[in-house]
Amino acid sequence: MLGTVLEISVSSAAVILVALALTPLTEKRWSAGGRRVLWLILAVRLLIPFNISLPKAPIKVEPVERVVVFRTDAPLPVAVMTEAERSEAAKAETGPANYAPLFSLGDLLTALWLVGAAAFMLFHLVSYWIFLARVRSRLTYGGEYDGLPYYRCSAVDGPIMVGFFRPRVLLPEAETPPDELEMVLAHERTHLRRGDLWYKLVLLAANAVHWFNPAVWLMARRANKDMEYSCDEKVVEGKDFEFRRRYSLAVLHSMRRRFEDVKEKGVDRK
Amino acid sequence: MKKMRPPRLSTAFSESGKSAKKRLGNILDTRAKRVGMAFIIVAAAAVVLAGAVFALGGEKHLAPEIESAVGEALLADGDRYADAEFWAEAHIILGSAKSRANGETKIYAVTSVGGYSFMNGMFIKNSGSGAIPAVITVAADGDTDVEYPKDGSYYASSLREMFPVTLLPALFMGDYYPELEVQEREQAREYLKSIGREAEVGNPGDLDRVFPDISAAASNAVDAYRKDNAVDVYPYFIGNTERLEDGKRYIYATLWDGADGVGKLTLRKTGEDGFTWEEYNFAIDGDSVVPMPSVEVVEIPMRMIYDDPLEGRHIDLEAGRRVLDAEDAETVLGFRAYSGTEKPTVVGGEAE
Repeated sequence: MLGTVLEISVSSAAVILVALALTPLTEKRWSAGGRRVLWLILAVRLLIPFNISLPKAPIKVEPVERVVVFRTDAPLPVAVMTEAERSEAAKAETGPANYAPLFSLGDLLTALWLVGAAAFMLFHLVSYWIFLARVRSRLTYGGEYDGLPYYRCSAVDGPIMVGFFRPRVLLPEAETPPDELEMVLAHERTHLRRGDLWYKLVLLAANAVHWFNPAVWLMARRANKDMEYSCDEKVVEGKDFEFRRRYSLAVLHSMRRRFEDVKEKGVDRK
Repeated sequence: MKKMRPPRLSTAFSESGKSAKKRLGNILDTRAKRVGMAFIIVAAAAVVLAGAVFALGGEKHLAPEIESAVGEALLADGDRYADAEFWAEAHIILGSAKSRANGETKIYAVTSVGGYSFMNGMFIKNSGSGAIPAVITVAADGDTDVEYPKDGSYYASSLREMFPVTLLPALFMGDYYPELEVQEREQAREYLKSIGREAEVGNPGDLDRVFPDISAAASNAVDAYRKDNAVDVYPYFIGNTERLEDGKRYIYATLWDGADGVGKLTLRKTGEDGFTWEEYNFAIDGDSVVPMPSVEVVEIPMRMIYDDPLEGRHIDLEAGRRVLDAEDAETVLGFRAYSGTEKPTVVGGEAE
């Protein structure tokens, strides 16, 4: 299992890094929406647990010589032998008869990987549920926008949308001018229409499975950014410059409010 | 109240604070941007191919005892094909899977077997198979089973049933025969070394075969004779093949002394020491084939004295090799010599 994951992780990393390298060069020409699709394809690929095989695999990696970890009955330190030494010892009549194989290096690494992936996923799922639980009591209903309900919430400092099955937009407490509000809600509504929360889940899962691979971390970061940008693009699509100006102001004001919040409350926010 | 950091599983409006300039620039850019579909398709294809190309050696390495079990299982199957002096097998393993339940290992491979014999001094693969996919199952107790795909129109569908879907591209697109041939020939060469003979290993196409220039009718007549008299082992071409019989090596040669459809065709069997054990001669003239006096030699194991009351013959044969010429009528070995009007029959010491 781990072998296949490693195969997929390393081979995909090559493609990911090339794509990431090309992104700044092509940002002006190719939309974020296109890149969003690309990262999704790559994330899905990272999650599919097998490869098709080619007639002759040009690049072959020789398997690591297996190192077997033994334990004796007596409280001796753990003896580590290579597979060759072990078969030698097994052949010898007077071999270490009181050695019993516990686990191999391969098993160890697989366990490590599984624990890492589980920990990663758990952390994010738990923090998600904790967040939902904490804000539940601090919501004030604000209205609906195209079927998407929105609330004022004292616990957030910028507009967000949460909820897979009953999505809601949470807005910070401060009043926002109506047209700015419209922009914010249009943006979040677009996220909803595209199923971006599920997209984030897929990214998260891929990141969890490949938690050891820095290329995947980089991809996840970039993908999130492209997801937001493509949402912007969708909202301002076909609209004139004036509309875009107002939209960017809404973005700016929202950012500024968060910044002021940091200054006021001294909360360390990035 | 203290603001909470939004969880990863949420979307935000103003999270991209750091690169605000880029974001605003993107929003304000009214130029239409392309989706870059070509780029996406190329990247998607690249990532799938990358996974296929980058293979860790692991699952294609088998334990040595399983590897040799595979070889033996394939060789055991070799007797499906026509006779040969030496059988070689070759296999290229595409993948393997081990069942935790019953400890059996399934090996998915492309295989070939080759039967090699000496022809005109070359060691030729004159029997066997080309590249055939096979699934070899090695049970925990070492028992093996080889499964081949079905013939004809069932070939492709049986392959799809036998092989896991991830191996099918490799199976259908690969060109395995060259490597299989290399493996087989290596084994053939080792065999040659073991019997202390030097010869070039090859395929029937490597032989420069020359055939007697006799008419088709004459050729068919000789052929019918060969089949009737169970001496089909002689080559059709002018030259020789070798066979091992009871551990001894014999050379079967076909010779032609003539031109333009007229001449003498000889089929001769000699031992390694050059001693002639059999010889059939045919006078060929156009479409006419006339059997000529032949030689058949029999190894008489012990002295045989026999009184044939019916024909009033007294037969007294010493032990040893004996040429039974046209004069002899019958011996205790029950064979009949050619007297000029009758056809010779099976030789070699077997009772008829």
